[in-house]
Amino acid sequence: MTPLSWIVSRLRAGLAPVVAVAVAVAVTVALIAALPRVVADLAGRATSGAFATLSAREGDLMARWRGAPAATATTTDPGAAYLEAAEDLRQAQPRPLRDVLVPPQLLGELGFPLSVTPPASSGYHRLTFAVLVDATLEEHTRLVSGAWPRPPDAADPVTEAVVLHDAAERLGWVLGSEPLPGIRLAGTFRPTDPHDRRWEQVPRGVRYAELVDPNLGTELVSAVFVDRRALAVGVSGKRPQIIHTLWYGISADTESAGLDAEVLAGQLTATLARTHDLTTDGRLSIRLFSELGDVLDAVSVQQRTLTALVLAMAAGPVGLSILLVWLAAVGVRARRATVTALVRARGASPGQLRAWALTEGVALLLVGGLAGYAVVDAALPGPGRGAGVGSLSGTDALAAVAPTLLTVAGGILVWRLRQGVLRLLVGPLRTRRSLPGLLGVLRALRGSGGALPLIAVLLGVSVAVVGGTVSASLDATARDAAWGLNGAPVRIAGPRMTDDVVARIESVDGVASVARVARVADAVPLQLPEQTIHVGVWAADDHLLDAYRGSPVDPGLPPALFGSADGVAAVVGGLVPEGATGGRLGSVGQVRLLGHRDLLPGIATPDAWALVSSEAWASAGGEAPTATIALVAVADGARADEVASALRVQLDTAVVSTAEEQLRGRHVPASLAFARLATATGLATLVLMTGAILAADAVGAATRRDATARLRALGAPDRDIRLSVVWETAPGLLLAVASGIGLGIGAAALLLGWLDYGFITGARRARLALDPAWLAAVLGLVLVALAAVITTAARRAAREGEAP
Amino acid sequence: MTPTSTRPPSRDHAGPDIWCEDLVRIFTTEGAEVQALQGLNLVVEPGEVVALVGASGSGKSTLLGILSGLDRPTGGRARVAGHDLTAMRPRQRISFRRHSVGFIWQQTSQNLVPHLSAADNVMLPMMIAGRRDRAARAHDLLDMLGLADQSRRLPPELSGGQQQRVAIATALANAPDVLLADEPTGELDDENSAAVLEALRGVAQLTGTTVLIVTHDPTVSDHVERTVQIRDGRTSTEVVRRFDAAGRTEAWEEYTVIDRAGRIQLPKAHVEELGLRDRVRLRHGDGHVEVWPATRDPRHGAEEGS
Ligand SMILES: Nc1ncnc2c1ncn2[C@@H]1O[C@H](COP(=O)(O)OP(=O)(O)OP(=O)(O)O)[C@@H](O)[C@H]1O
Ligand SMILES: [Mg+2]
Repeated sequence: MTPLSWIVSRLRAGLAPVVAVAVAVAVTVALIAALPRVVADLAGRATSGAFATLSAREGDLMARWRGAPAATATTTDPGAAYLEAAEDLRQAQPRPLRDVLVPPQLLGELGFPLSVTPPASSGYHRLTFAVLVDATLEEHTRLVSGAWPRPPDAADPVTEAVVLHDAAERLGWVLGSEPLPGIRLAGTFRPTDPHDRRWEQVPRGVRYAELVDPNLGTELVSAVFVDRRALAVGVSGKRPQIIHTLWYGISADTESAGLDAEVLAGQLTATLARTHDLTTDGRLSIRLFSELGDVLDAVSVQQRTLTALVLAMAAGPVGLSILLVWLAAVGVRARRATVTALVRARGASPGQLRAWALTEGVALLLVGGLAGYAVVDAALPGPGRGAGVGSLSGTDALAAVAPTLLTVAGGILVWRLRQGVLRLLVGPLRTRRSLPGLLGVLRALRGSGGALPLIAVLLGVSVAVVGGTVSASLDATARDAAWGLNGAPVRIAGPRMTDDVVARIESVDGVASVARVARVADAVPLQLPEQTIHVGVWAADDHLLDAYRGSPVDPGLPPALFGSADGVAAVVGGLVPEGATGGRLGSVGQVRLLGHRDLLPGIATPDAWALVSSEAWASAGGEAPTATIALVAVADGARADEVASALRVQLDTAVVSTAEEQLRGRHVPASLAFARLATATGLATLVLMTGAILAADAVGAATRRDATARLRALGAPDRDIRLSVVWETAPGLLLAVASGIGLGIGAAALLLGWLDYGFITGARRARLALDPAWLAAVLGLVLVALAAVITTAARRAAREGEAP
Repeated sequence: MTPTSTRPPSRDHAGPDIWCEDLVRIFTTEGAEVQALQGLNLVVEPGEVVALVGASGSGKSTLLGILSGLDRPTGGRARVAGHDLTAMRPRQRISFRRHSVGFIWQQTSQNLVPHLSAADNVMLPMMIAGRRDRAARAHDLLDMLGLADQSRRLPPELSGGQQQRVAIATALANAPDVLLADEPTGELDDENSAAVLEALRGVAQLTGTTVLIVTHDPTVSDHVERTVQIRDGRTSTEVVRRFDAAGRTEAWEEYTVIDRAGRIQLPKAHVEELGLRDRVRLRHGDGHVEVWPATRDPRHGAEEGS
């Protein structure tokens, strides 16, 4: 027998509780190890989500410069040299910027476009072709017919070129012909991936355009692509000025997972601030420009918010699993109490006891910890390079710990409250002579064992509620924002809403009514009793009431606004002070003011505005330009998206949007992932909570044994013993459930108020919204779990009471 | 000390192995006070084997708890194996438990670690004390108690009597001066009880260990030379057995304790037999005092003494 064999035999003797400790440790470690990965994953989604919706103009790093062909020999290929230098520049960037940039591309536009007048049979009055060098054209297209163009010759007045197959076909061009002056058609191509974002930089590479002039007819606009060496020698024996565009696309793929937008933004700023040499002789130095920085700033806010939210919610499962470790350890200790007393009596010193326990603890932590880590490592990808939480601002950090602090503070309050409630219960139970109930409540009042389950329930319920509530609130606010932008189920902007256009809109199936909204005047003085303020005046017809009806942000305009009986009425908003009932509005004179609203959904109102009836405005002599916005109410049973597609066909130049589309646009990948995470966290928390209460009750069961034995000695049946356990545990736990829901909603409100959710909600402040289904689900699950726990405890008490 | 050789008790300290004076222990639970010991006096010399008997609740276990260094007296003084129990610091207390006392409780399961073999159980106190040659000494002790064959067995695989004998070996592991046993035979049948008591007396004699056995067992006096009766937290009477040269019981002598105020307590049996009540009549004899029922005149009485 050595100290080591002693420890091993102790561990082996009570394997089940020891395993419980190790498992609880594993769960804790797994949660803690998963945390940075989850954060990195969300951060990555935030980045890639933002990148994915970027247009090339917003995202790409670009440089532009002018130059004329300088060389005479066709052997020089400046395109290749530029690309190589640009690629070197990319390789010289620090990570993660380097990985975010895709290899450079180059476009040269040579001089002015070539224009010819085609035969009338073509249907066009004119053909206009830009002469382009797309340095990586062959990588992104497929030759349909002919061959790639041969390099131009400085002396040859004819240069070979390829054109978009569709254009060549439309015009009936044949290979080998010279359809444009100085250009011979060598081949035709099609893009391999027309949706590749690169084509935003080279739009003529995917489609030709038809420009319609009411007087002259239709003009076809396209491009011919010549060999890269034209950048050195020019085309058709000429040397025109060349506008070079060099760009690096942004990759939105998974490689950017876990990207810290703040780091990236810093690297980007440094790169944009410098000039870079593209040639070794220093004759060509470029400066890159990009709007990516603004995007990254927004992403970094999003990342910080998500990180704070994840940390706030993680407190639940992590706290509960630590509680489980502790309870399991207490359980092991309780089981060993007899043996511990024995070895103490035989002279074991506190130091020896500590050393043994420490050895065991370290072993269990190692085994459990490694197991937990291994599971996480296998299940979740490691945080990518450059990954990070970023630095949380003070507010973010505070928000992250707020729910935990709130729970702790709430726990103390709820404990007090519990004592009060129990005391209140004593009286009625006494008069009703319910002995088991009375005994149970008295036991709960005296014992302190109820604190741990109470905290477990409080933490579990509040975290489950926080996740769902934040998620629901963001959803609701996003919905508000979407409807705030769109105003009505369908919004049309662009064309002048003449009677004819409105008639066409109304002819579409499913359109119930069309409200025309016009900006009729700017900076009109509105004289109020106290002050004069300049307002933008908007005019609408009474269909606006229909359009707004059913919107979550319906401003509830007074119908009297559109009654033209006595003069002009107006609803004012924005900075116009509230309260006034009348004033003088510019040349229209006296107006009645019917109310004040912050915003008009679907209408980009200025800081201070007034909305009037277009009819009343016109009859009062106001200037009345044609409306450019129409808000469409959809008939019952009709679908907004179908109505919108039909409208798009009817009005090809109009911008038609639906509230649902706007909403989809706001559901960034990160917020969807967060919603899933909230659900998962909620469930995990509830499971851990159940485990923790069970464990806490098992540990505290010993204290109940005496009381149970006493009840049994008095001849109490099992039913009474169970009843007394129910009375002992249920009031406190139910109180904790109710308080947990309250605390959860409070914590959610804090999180909503303190963090910036602009990436989802736009300019709106996130408003607290409860999700009844979620709350009901949480409540249901918790009550089922508690019922199970209480039943188990009651059964155990009844069983133990039996044993002599 | 080798357990296999009989040795007269040799001690590092002077005086008795157990010495208690006016020992008081008061338990306070939920406001109520229980006087478990109310001024107990007891002296046990090195090598003595003493039985402590008394009704349930008379304070026997309380006394043993104090003597084994697990509990502290509320008042009075106690000295065990030269250690003053009322003035021990934590370090000394640990050393006292390791080296000076061994104990055996009534519940067989309380004496042994269930997941350790008999030999490992005996070695456990030695490991705690950091003693060398643990295996050899454990073997010797088990051998001495007739358990050499059982050394690899776990306690649940042993009979109650065997378990208590392993417990004796465990208690003796670090060669303590004093062995305390609280109803070691309480859970055993007569046969096993006798075997355990014999084993106790045997090893005590062999090793020179002082033994104090608490028991309900009326036959225990057959195995010990001195039986102390404890009543209401006080030692009351004592029976000392005298042996003749052949080792047979020659005579039983009965003693009672007289406190400093001169109060004595008479054995209950005598009180009831003679109907002693309220007042007794004393008669001073030649070098002794007689106690008479108040109603009888000692001058007409037939017998002497009481
Ligand atoms: N820890 C304690 N707390 C309160 N009272 C106690 C405690 N231990 C003992 N007592 C009380 O002290 C008195 C003496 O108890 P003790 O256990 O010493 O008696 P005993 O002589 O060993 O009895 P038994 O023969 O039944 O074992 C009893 O009245 C008992 O209730
Ligand atoms: Mg006892």
